[in-house]
Amino acid sequence: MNNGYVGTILRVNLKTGTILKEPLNDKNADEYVGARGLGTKYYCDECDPKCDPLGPDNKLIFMTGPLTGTAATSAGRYNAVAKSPLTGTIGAANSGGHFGPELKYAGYDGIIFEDVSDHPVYLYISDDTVELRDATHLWGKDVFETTDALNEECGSNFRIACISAAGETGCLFAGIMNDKHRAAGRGGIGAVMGVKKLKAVAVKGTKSIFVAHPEKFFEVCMDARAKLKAHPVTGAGLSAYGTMILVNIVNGVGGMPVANGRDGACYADADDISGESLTAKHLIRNKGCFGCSIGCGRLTEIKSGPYKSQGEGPEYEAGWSFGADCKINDLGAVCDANFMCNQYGIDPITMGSTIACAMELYEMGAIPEEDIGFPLRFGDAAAMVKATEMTCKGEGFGKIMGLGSYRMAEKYGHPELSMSVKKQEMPAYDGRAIQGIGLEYATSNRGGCHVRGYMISPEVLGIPLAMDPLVTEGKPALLKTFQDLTALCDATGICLFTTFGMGLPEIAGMYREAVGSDESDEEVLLKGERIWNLEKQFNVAAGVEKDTLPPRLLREKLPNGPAEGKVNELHTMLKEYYAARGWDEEGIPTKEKLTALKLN
Amino acid sequence: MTVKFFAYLRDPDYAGCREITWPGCADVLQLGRELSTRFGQKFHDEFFAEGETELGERVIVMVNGRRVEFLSGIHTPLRDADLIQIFPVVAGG
Repeated sequence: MNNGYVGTILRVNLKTGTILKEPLNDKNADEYVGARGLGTKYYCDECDPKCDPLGPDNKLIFMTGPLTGTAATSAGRYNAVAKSPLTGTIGAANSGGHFGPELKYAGYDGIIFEDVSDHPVYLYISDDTVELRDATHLWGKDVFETTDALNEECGSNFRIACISAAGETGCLFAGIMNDKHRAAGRGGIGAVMGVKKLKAVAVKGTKSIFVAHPEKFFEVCMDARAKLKAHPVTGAGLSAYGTMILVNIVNGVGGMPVANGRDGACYADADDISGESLTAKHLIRNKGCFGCSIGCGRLTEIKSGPYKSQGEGPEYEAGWSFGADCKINDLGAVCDANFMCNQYGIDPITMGSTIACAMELYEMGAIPEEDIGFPLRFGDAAAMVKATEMTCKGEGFGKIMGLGSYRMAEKYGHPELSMSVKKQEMPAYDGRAIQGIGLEYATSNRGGCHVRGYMISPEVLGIPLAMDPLVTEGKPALLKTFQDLTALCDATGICLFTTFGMGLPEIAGMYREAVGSDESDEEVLLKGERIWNLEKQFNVAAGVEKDTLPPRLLREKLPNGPAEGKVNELHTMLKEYYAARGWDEEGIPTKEKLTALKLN
Repeated sequence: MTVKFFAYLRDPDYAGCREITWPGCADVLQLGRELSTRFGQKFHDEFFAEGETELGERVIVMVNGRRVEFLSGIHTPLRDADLIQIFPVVAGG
C-alpha cells in the first residue's frame, strides 16, 4: 500500500491457535485514522460493551497509526485497546519506544487477540512467519527477564512487548511494557493480556512503509522537525530535564497534590524531587524513542544507599505519586519505586496514588496495621518502597493495593478518599488549583488521566496561550478542542509531546501527505472528534458512571497556597462542555451529533 | 523579597544560584532591571523582550504563585514579603 498503512491485520485466536491475515478495513482506517482511533473502532465493532474485562470476550488489540514508523517526527507509537478492568471504560493505552514501528516493518498495522489460551503463549512474528509459541518457561518472569529471554530465544534484534507477574496475577493496573521501559501503562490492559495467558509479542520486520506523496511528505516532516527544534521546550527543555521539570512550576502555582490531596497542593520539599535535582544527581543521559528529536526519556542511577539502582525515568507523574503524594522527599526512594514499576510492568501513577490513599486510611485508623503488616505513614520512604514491592509481587496487602485505590478504599469504608475518576487515579495536578484539568479528569473517556486533553499546557505552562488556572471561563470549549486534537494525534501514531511545539497544521499536513488525502485541517480534526464520540458511545453503552470528581476536589477547600480556599467548579464547566460537544445535559451524545459524525 | 530561579536559569550563565533575597523593588520591571545588572546581558535578554516593554517569550514570572500576566504584567507591584519565581518556558506531563 502507498498510504502509510501496510494493509494487513493479524487476527489471533488464542483458544484455537488460529492465525489469520486479513486486509485492513480501508473505510475504518479513513474514518478513524489508526492506533487509538482505529483500534477502538475494531474493538467496538466486535465486542459487547457489557463484556467482562477479564473474561474471554474482551479482545485485546494492538494498533499502529499511518505515521508510525515513518519519517514523521516522534512516530514510534502504538496503542493497546481493550475494555479496561480498572475502569470498565474503553481502555486505550499508548506507548512509544520501537515496538510499534517494528510491527509495521513486519507488515502488520495491528493485531487482534481473541479469546484465551489454556496455557502461556507468546506471539512470534518475523515478517511473514507468525506463530504462537509456548511461554510456560517465561510465566512468572518480570519484564526485564522476559525481554532478555525472548531476545536470546528469537534474536537480539526482535522488539518485545510483554507483561510480568503483576499482569499474570490480576493487578488491575498492570500495563504492557515494550523495549523494557516503555509502557502502555494505564487502565490495566496488562491484566487483560495476563488473563489471555499471552505473555509477550516478539516482532522483527524487514519491510518498508510507503506513503502517498513521498517528496511532499518528507518536506512537511522536515518542516515539523524544524519547528520542534526551534521551540524552547521540544528543542531544548525536555531533552535537558525530562518531564520532572514540571515539579517546581506546578508546585509554584499551588497545584501539586500533597498527601493524597489531604494537605493541599503545595509541597515544601518539591525541589528535592524536582527535574533539576534529578538532572544534577542521578541523570546518566537522556534517551529518545523511535524517530524522536525531543528525547525526553531519562536513563538514571541511584549510585549508593538503600535504593541503589539503575533504570529509566521517573516521569513527572511518577515523581509526584511516589514523592509529594506520599510526602516523600527522598529522590532515591522515588526512583527505586518507579524502577520497580517498570520491572514489574505496573502503572506508577495508580501505584503511588494507591499508596498515598492507604497512608491516609492508615493514619485515620481505617486500615489496621495488621492488615498491612507494618506502619504505613506519610513521609516514610522505606514503607512506600516496601508497599510498591509488595504490590509488584502480589504479596500480602499488595494484593489489595493491586486492585487500585477505589476498590481498596471501598473495602475499608471510605471510597470517597480514592483520588480517582471512574476508578482510575488522577495524576499530578490538583483540580482545585487548576480548574480546567479538573474538567479534563471528569470527562476523560478512560477515567482519571491527564493525556486526553492536557489543560496544564495553557493553564500552567502558557502553551499555546496562557489561561488563568483559577478561572473557569473559556476552559470547556478549549478542552473539547484539546481532546479532539489529542485523539487525532494519538491515532496518527506520533507522540503527544510534539504538540508543545507544533499543532494541527503540522499533524494534518503529515497525515495528508502520508495517506494521500486532500482534506482540510478542520476535516482531519473532525476525525479526532469522531474518535472521542465513539469512545464516549462505548462508555455509555457499558454503563460507566457519570462524569464527576472525588468529593475532596468538589467540597474541601484548598488549605494553603496561591489557590487557597478554592474547590473545583465542575458544575459550572460541565454544562458548557456538554453544549460545546453537542451532547445532552446528561452528557450523552445526541442523535444529531452522532449522525453528523457518521457514528450511527 | 525572595527570588527563586529554576532549570537553566540556575546556571552560571544566568543567575548562577537557586534563590536570593533582594531588597525592595517597586515592580517586576524594576526587579528585572536590577537582576539584569547583577547577572548580566544573557539574563536580561531572557527576562525581557526587546525594549523592556514586556517579559521575554521564554520566561515565566510568578508573584506569590500567580503568573504576572494575570496580575499587572511587568508593572505588577512588589512588596518585601513577596515570593518571586522565575522559570524558563517548560513542559512535560
